[in-house]
Amino acid sequence: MNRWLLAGMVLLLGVGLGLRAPALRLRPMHNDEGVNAMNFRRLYVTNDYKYNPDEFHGPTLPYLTLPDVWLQGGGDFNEFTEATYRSVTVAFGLGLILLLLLLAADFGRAQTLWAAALTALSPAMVFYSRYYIHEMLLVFFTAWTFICCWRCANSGRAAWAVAGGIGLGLMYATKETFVLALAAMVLAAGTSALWRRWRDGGAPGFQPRWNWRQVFAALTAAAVTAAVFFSSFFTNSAGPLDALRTYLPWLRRASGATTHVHPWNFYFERLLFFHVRGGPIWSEGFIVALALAGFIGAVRGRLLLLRLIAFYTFWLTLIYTVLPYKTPWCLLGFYHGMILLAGAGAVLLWRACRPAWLKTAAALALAAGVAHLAWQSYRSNFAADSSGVPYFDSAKNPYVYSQTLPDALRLVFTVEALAHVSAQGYGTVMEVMTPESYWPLPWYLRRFTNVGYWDNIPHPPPVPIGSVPIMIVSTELHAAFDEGPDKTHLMAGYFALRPQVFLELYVQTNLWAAYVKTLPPEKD
Amino acid sequence: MILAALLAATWQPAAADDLAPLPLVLPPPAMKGTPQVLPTNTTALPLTSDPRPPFLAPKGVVNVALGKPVTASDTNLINGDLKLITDGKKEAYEENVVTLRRGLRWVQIDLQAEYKLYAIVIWHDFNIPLVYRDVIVQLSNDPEFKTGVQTIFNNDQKNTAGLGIGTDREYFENSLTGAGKLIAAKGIPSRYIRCYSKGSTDSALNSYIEVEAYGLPGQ
Repeated sequence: MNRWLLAGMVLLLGVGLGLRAPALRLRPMHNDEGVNAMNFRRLYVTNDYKYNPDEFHGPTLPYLTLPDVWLQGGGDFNEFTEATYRSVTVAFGLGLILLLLLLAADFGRAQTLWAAALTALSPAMVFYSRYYIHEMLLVFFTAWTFICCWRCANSGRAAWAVAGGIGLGLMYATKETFVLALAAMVLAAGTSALWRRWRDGGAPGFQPRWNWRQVFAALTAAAVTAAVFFSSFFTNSAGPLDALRTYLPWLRRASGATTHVHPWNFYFERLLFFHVRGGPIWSEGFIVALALAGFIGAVRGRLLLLRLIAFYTFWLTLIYTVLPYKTPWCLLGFYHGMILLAGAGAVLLWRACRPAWLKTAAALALAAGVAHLAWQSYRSNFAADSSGVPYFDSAKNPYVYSQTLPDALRLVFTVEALAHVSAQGYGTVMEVMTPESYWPLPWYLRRFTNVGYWDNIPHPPPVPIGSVPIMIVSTELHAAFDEGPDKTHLMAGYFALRPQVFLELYVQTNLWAAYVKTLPPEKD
Repeated sequence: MILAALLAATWQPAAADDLAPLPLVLPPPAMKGTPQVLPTNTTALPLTSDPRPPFLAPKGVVNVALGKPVTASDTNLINGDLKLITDGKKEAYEENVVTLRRGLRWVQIDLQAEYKLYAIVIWHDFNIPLVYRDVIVQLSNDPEFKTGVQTIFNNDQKNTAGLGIGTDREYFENSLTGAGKLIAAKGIPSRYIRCYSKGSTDSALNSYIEVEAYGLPGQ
């Protein structure tokens, strides 16, 4: 392997790590992250994790969290922090950079380094590498599968076919939307063949060296891998069937039976020009522009690998644009294709600039684009606006979506302090009542052993309301538990769980009195 | 405790026919429309321009605090005169405002006789929607408030005033309605009213516009 390529990749891995790994606990857990962490609890603590076809996506995330936790020394689930979980996706985000080494021989060294740099610096890639959800794993396994298939077709070696099959199985076992990436790959292969026939006529082209035995081996590897994960390592016989059944609920969601319906330009707004009043302008237009150059170069040129990437990206972008179900992290799939194209586009642009002055201008433009990406990545994860609100928790950030607010942590600290003075400690009874999603509270309240979760005020309550020491209630329910004639509770404060989702904390007056005694005296 | 039980026993709720809405005249709102920025670090219910439901009290109650003498824990006022607190002028004009210094402060009204009190209504400065901290309202027949003290409202949840943990919520000075804070006094016979506060979400100072006490002669 070329030592400059290796040195460049090591440097870029360092850059990627520098943006991804620090201060992983800064951002409060998103509700999906809370769900995923508690799913991991079922695997790690109670050992009863089973794939759920209706919710929560595939089993790779909890299972691949296990080695990460073991590497960190294992220990008590309750002591795991946000960083414990997010280091899993950080690893896959870095792995996505490393994977490019497998493409370098056919993609080109300079193109590979550019693609690695843009992956390392892209604000979207950085932000969601620090996010304990399935998306980064899916993008990694998709890239792995694509690369292995390409190398198998190139070399004819069965090992690549099996590796590609394992990748496909892992894609399947990661997230239901893998079918979209798979469809885009198939469409890309077909479109590429048609394009070659139309554009290149009868000119001899690439002759893939795979055979049907390799296809069989790949599909077997995919099926076995998926079955291993979906069956929870052969302990849940219903898992593999559930892996097929899952497409009924997810098809309903994809067609719009969900709250996550957004217009067609949802992803483009975030990638090209995102501006909320009072916030900065965000744009990864630099990458998209280079990707466009790469796309043009791909369809006009003869490099099949680049053409496959171009058509794959085109189809996947189209699919995600057309689907009404949209969450911002879903853009990672097609955006990774854009980043690869942008790597090729940067080199094309550089080579197209012949005169020295034009090359200088191109170098300056590329350097400015890279610096802008790096600055935005830093800002979106570590900086705050002029009023002190961190961008990782602000609607001014294009990648923040239904994010838990820091105020929720204030609630958790208060409840923890109440448990500290309660005779029952973490066994103190607590009821959480909210028609909105209460996640990620179950993860934050994981040490409590007697917590009930309700989507309304239960009638009749399982225990008399007056005897429940702590109640966390949505303001939408107008509970007014502090207005009873016997004044059993006081309302200790409002806490914003997410934007426009407010919770009231009701505390039994005697428990509150014990808590108040622990407070430091207030200064005038 | 014994005194509270005696008071509860002596207070007979009036029959429905004997009740009527409090003859309360509200000052005009200090502002219109939706305020752009409201304090969030509070236990107060959201600010609303909805009128308060009528408060029923025995027929014949009047504002027995009108024109009565006022004293305060702070003799060094920032502005205004304590007389303004019971002068009947409730508009949120600067000339109606009395401001006490920062920290926990109280004002005390001497009703000059014992009255059965049914409602206390307090207007801090409500020029903008803000929340006063540690609002405590006590009634007593002892001018020193050492004996026979009845706390009828206390939202000092952290007991920073040292008068006991309050279980009531904070509230917005409602500049949209000018409604003031109405506190039910349940017919408790008292001569003195003491109102505490410890600054607000807007300032460390303590400002009052008016305090009214609706009651009937105690004997």
